[in-house]
Formats: sequence, structure tokens, C-alpha cells
Amino acid sequence: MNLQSVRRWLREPAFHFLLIGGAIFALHSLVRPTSSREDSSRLIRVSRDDLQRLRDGHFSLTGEMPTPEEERRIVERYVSDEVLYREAIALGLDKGDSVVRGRLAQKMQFLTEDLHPAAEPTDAELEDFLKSSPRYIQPRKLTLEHVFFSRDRRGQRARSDAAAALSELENDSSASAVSVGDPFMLGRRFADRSETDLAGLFGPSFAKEVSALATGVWSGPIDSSYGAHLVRIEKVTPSTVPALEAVRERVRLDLLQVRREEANRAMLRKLAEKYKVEIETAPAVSTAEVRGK
Amino acid sequence: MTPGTWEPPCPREPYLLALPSLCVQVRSHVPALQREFPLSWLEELKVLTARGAAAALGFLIPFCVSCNRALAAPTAKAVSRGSQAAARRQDSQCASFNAERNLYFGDLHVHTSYSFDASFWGTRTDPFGAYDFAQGAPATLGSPTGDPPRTAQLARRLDFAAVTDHSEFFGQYPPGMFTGENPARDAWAHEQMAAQAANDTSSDCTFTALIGYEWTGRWWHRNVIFRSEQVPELAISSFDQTTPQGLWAALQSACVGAGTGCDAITIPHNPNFSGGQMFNIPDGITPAEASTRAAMEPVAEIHQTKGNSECKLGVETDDPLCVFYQKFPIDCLTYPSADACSPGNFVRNGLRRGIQVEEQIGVNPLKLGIIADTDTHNGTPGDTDQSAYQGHKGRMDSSPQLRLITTSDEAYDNAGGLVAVWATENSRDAIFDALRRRETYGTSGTRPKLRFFGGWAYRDDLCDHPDLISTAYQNGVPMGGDLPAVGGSADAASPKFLIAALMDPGTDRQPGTPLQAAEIIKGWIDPASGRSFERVYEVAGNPVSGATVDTSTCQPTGPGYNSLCAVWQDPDFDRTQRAFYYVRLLENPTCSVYQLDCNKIPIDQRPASCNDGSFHMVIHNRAWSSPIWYQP
Repeated sequence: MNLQSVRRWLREPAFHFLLIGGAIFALHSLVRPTSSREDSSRLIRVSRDDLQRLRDGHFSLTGEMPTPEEERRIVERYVSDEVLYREAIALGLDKGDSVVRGRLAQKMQFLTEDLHPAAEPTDAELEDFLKSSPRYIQPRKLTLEHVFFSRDRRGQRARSDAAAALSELENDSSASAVSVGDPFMLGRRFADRSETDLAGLFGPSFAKEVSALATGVWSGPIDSSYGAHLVRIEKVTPSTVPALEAVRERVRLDLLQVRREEANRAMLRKLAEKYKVEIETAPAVSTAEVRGK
Repeated sequence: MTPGTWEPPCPREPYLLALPSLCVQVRSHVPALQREFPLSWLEELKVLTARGAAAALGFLIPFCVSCNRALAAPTAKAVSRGSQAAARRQDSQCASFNAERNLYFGDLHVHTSYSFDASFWGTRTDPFGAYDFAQGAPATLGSPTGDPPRTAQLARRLDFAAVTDHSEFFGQYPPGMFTGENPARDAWAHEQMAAQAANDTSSDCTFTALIGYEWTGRWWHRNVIFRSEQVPELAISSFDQTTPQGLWAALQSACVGAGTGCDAITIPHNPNFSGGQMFNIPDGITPAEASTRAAMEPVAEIHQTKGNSECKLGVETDDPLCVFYQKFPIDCLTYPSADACSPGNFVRNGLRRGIQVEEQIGVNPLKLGIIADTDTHNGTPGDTDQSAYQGHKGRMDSSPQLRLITTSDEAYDNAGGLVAVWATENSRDAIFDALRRRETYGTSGTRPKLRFFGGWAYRDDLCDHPDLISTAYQNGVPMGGDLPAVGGSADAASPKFLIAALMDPGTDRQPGTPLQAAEIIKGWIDPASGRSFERVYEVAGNPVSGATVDTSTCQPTGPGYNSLCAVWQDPDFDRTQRAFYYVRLLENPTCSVYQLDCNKIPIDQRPASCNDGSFHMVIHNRAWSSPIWYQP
């Protein structure tokens, strides 16, 4: 080999490339920590963070930090689980397992969700949402006064006593409701109660009957869970949608949630575009029939 | 910044662009796609994934972890600030305001998918879903893999509720949801948002959502309930404070004494498995320590899914009615030295210990009003209907068969209780004030109405008085109060008590059970010996009325009362003896949840526990009032 050809060699870019590449490899093998020379899938390392997590777990169950002996056993358990887990993965046991499938799907869902922050709604949007959502509608409410005739005290007479008192009240509008009937531990007057509220106070059938009464006159007797009642509706508050100012923060948080849900559904739709979905049809057979066989 | 305008997550350094999955920080709530739970090995999968990515990219992982911490901080703070700035309570009164107080039913002990145990058990309902459930929406319950999903729905909505997820492991459940630098803070921010969204601050006052969480020390479980949206930055857990004393001190500095308007109480629960520790007040307690405890703990949870904690037969008492939904069937008459037989485990014994300590040091550390809750781990507040009981622990107790295994952790659980408060209106302040003044009672899940007053000048015919309630307030104190000093011209020589009750009116689906009897339980101290005593007095109704239930159909038979009212005067009063009085209101007998569960299984397939006396098959549902105290 003459000098000429050596020079040509030294000028050859391929030679430079080999030289530099070799140097990088040599440097890398010096810098690289020894552990990564081993097959990383065969290394089980319990890091300081792992250890802290295991100690915290023990603490939450027992209220005390593990003793050295307990810690040894916890770590042993962790390592043996890790061995089993890796062997299971190697054997492909994670495939076709509905629990594993569900968990991974959920993790992916968390990763894809909420990457787009929901925009802060304007007042007009809040108004629209308030008007269009049934959850804010306030039911019709009654303010009422009642006179009670206790079934425990009067037995069968509770109803007839109430009927007699009703004609008295009708004839003499000045007759004080207080002077007839029995004491009632929840009181005589109830302000602004929905049918559901009244069902909780007097029982469901009473609530239904009272909801149909006329305003301003004494009516009855109406049976409750406790006896007979004469009832006068003082005021009816019709079903309403509250003013935005009264429920602004609830509406705002609810709307933000709806928007996040929408964004998440859109994200899922976008991901699903990558896939072609085929669904076969099959005759429906109920589980009971299958079990019967 | 508000919760809706979070900044895009992590990658700001070029080398991190390759690792987006490790840098997503703050997750928002998504009710429609309710989240699932973890298994510990899945947690490890997460670590493994991270390790795999790290191995693939060389040495970047340590950089990424620290970047994540540095970059996540402002985002997490913003979430917290956003929710704290949320709705303030309006000053307008509720339309249903009542100076003589309305009755509201609620549940202040509720776990959702944010609790590590509920999450393990397959619960997907989160705090938002739980508050919806309390107001009548359906919820899905955790089921064993392969079983069809189960749903639940309340026949009667609640008036108020607090979601109280475990602050231990806050933000780590559901796994993968909170991945920022401070998951605990982010989860706490979400808990607050859920309560803010559910709390009705309009004059309709339809529903009150209180912010809270559970602090779970080894023996001393507490629920922390806040008055308003002013709450500490972080939910102080038993990792931060390992003792109740530490918790109170931390709440003092972070909340009650912080001057921010923050106010909190802690509610002890499950004294029944506190190993005797819950109400075990040492003799050396100082007046200052006793005052702190009394100020922080105005009420105790007497009943919940994991058993009743009123009293135990054989533990300083021979009261047979203590045998009611007992978590530990151990016979304390035979094995009095067992842990489960310690007086520190029961509210009545705690009340007795309280006045005993007060006799010695002048302060009662256990001045406890009474409430009851569910402790549901299904995210289902108020789910106490025994005939519709589906368990409270996700897939662990999802079938009658699972609930009837006497050796399981779930054995001897029940459908849980409700808290009732007498408050002027349904708002955070009014409910919180009622808890503070102990104008509360607990029920074993049904909704009887109970009033209880004490005074010196009540007329014997007060039950016939049309204005009995206003008279009772004017001349005495309601449940939870101290008898006023005696000395008026009309005052009797011994105190008088008004007990008034109405049966649970029930629902369309299920009528309420009539009342059977009302009792007063008195505890007192003999000042000479310093010893405590108790006695049960029958005050109304008929405990031997002959009412019963057919266990094969669970149909009740026999007479009962729609209402009870009585004025009772203590026949054994001694004005030198410190005392307390509380009411136990009994409904007619019904089938227990165990009998109801057995009846759901064909006779030839029932487990032995249905017939071998393992369970009490007939029970009296009941309510316990807060006590009224007498000080010499």
C-alpha cells in the first residue's frame, strides 16, 4: 500500500464516519452504568420511592411504620409479585383478560381526557344552560296551615271530629284554628314546601291530596300517617327556574363539566376514526336459556 | 385562574416532548365516564411503564420527575384557588325558614371512588355522582368481575350530605386520575368543587353539600366537616398527624384559628372497633386538653354500616336493647376482658366517662351529641333502606350470600343510619350550627321524627298545649343542651322532659313502621365515690305491646303508635349528682337485613348462618337523641 492510497483513505468520509462512530461507542460503554448492560427486563430494582410507597401502604393499614422485620417481608412480597407479574406478561397472560383490558382502557382514557381546557362560559351561555336543564327547575311549592286530629288520641273519631271542626271553621271564619284540634310537634304552619317535602312530613298520600286543594279556604279532612287534618293553603308558589344570580356557581361548574365531557367524547371519536369497526349479528339468546341448557 | 382554564400540561423543555404521558398533571372530573379503581399490581404496571420509557430514553427519567414537580406546582395551586373562590353563601334567608326549626335528614359519612378502599372494591361513583345520588339520581355499584352492573336510587332524597373520602392516599385513587406534582391537593380541590356544585345557595335551599373528608388513624377514626368553602389547602391526613390531638392542633392552626373564616368539627366514628381507645380518657387529662376535645367534637356517630356503638350488653350495663346490629357478636357477659368489651368502645359509656372526668377537673371532654351515618363505600349517601339493601362495600358485599358469610370482614354489617338535625333552614351555616349545638339525633336508617326538651317548669299537660314546641323552647333547652340553672318560682324539684315523636311516614313503595316505645337513658355520677351509673326509664308507648313480625314474609303485625308524646319527670333526681339524659325511640319490630337477605335466597340454598342463630333476625329500628346534661 503506497502513501497515496493511505492519504486517499484518510480523506474518505466513510472512514471518518467509522472513526467517529467507533469513538462514540467506546465512550458510551465507559459512561453507561453497569446495570443497563444486563438485560433490563431481568432487573428488579426496589427504588427508594418504591420503598417509601410500601411503607406508606403499611402505615395506612396499621397506623404504624413497619418494623425492619415487617419491612423485609413487605419487600419480599413486592419482589415476588414483581417476578410473577413479569412472568405473566412474558407468557402473555394479560391478553384476553377483561379486567386487564378494562384497566388499560381506563388509563388510556385518563391520558386522553382533559387535554383541552373547557372555555369559561359567558353569561349568555350560562342563561341558556340554566333554562335548558331540568335540574334547576324548582317544583311548585305550597305555604299552608293545618289543624291536626290525632288518630292515637281519638282513634276512629279523628276523621269525624275533623269534619265537625271544618263546618265550625266554615261558619265562623274568626274561629281560631288554634282552639280546635290536637298539638302537632312539627308545628301548624309550613312555608314553601314541595310535594316531596310534604310527603316526608305527612306521608305521600297526604302530599298528593293537598297539592290539589284550592287556595284560601279550609279543606279536609285529609288523612296523613298520623291522623286527620284540616288544611288551608295560604300561598302557591308556581314552579320556576331560579334567577341566574341565585345559582350562578352551580350552573357554571355544571356547564364546565358538560363541556369537558363533550371534549372527551370528541377526543374518543377522533381516536376511533383510526379503526374500522365490524359488528357481526347473531340471534339473541338470554343468559337464562343458556343456563337452562 | 379557574378550574375551567387550566394551562396545557407539562412539556416545556424539548427533551420532555418525548414523554407526554409522564407529564400530564391535572385531571378534571368527568361524571359520565365514571372512573375505575386500582389493583396494586396495576400501580406497579404504572411504575413499570415509566421505567420502560425511562430505559428507552436513557437517563431522562430523573430529569422528567423533577421537571414535573417544578412545572406542576402553579397548576395545582390554581385549581385550589379556583374552587375556593367559588360560590359564597348568600345572605338571603331560605323561603322555608322556621324559627322553631325544621327537621332535615342527611349523611355525613360517604366514600366514593376517591377513597382507596372504595376504589379497590370497584366503586366508580365519584364525589359529584355521590351528591347527585343524595338528590335522587341513580348510581352504579361495584360488582364482581363478570356480574352484571347493579344500580341503586333513593326512594327519598336527602336534605344534606358530606362526601368524606379518606385523606390517606388522597389523589392516588382512582389510579391514573391525578398525576400532577401534588395529587393530594388536586383530589382535595375536586372534592371541594363537587360540594360547591351541589350546594344550593338560592333561597330555595333544596340541598346542602358540606365539604369534608375522613382522617383515619389506627383506632381513632374521625370525619372532618367544614362550615363553608373556607378550608385548609390540604386535607390533613393520618400521615401528617397520627393522633387526634395532632389533628385538632393542625386544624386549629390551618383552619379554626387561622382567621380566614374557616371552621371545622371532627366527628368520631366506629368507636365499636377502636380497641377501647375512642372514649378512653386518661385520668391525667388537663382542663385545656378536655376543652379542646369538647370544642372540636360536639357530636359522635352512634350507628353506621359497620355496626352500632350505643352500648354493649355486659359492658357496664345489663340493658338488653343494646343487642342491636352489633359488629362483634362476642358475649361480653362471658368474656368481659376482650378488647371488643371495653367501655371505651361505646357512646353511652363515653358519655358516662365524660361526666366522671368533669366531676374531677371541671370540664367534660366527651360532651357528645348523637348522629348516625351510612359510611357507604359505594358513593351512595343515605342508602339506608333495609329492604332495598345491596351492601355498602362495592363488590365485597354485593350479594346476600356474600353478606351472610359470618367469617368475612363484611359480616354483621347493616344498612347504616341517618343524621337528623333541627335547624332553622337548610343551609351550610344552619346545619353546621345545629351540629355545634348538638340539636341532632341519629337513626338506624328510618326517618322517625323526634323532639326532646328539658326544663324545670314544663306543665304535665304540655303535650295537650297547642304551642308545645314554642313553650318547650321558651322554658327549657332542646336536645344537646344543658339544663338551665334551677331557681324560678315555677320550677319543680326535679327536671322535666318533653319527649315528642312521630313515626316515619314511609314512601309509596314502603309504608313506615309504627312506633313502639320511647325510653330515657339516664347516666349520673355519685359525687362521693366518683363512680358512674345508668338507668333506662320507659316514658311513652308500650315496650311489651305484643307487636311482632312474621320472619318468613317480614310482614309486621300487632299494635303500634303513629305518635308519642310525654312529659317525664326524673323520679330519682339528686341535685348533687351530675347527670345526662337521652331518648331512645323504638319502632315496632321488623326483619333485620340478615333475615331480609336470607329471604332472598331459596330455602334449600340458604347458608347455615340463616338458621343457626349467628344473626339477630328481628330488630327494632330506632333513633337516639343527643343528651341533655345537668350540672350541679
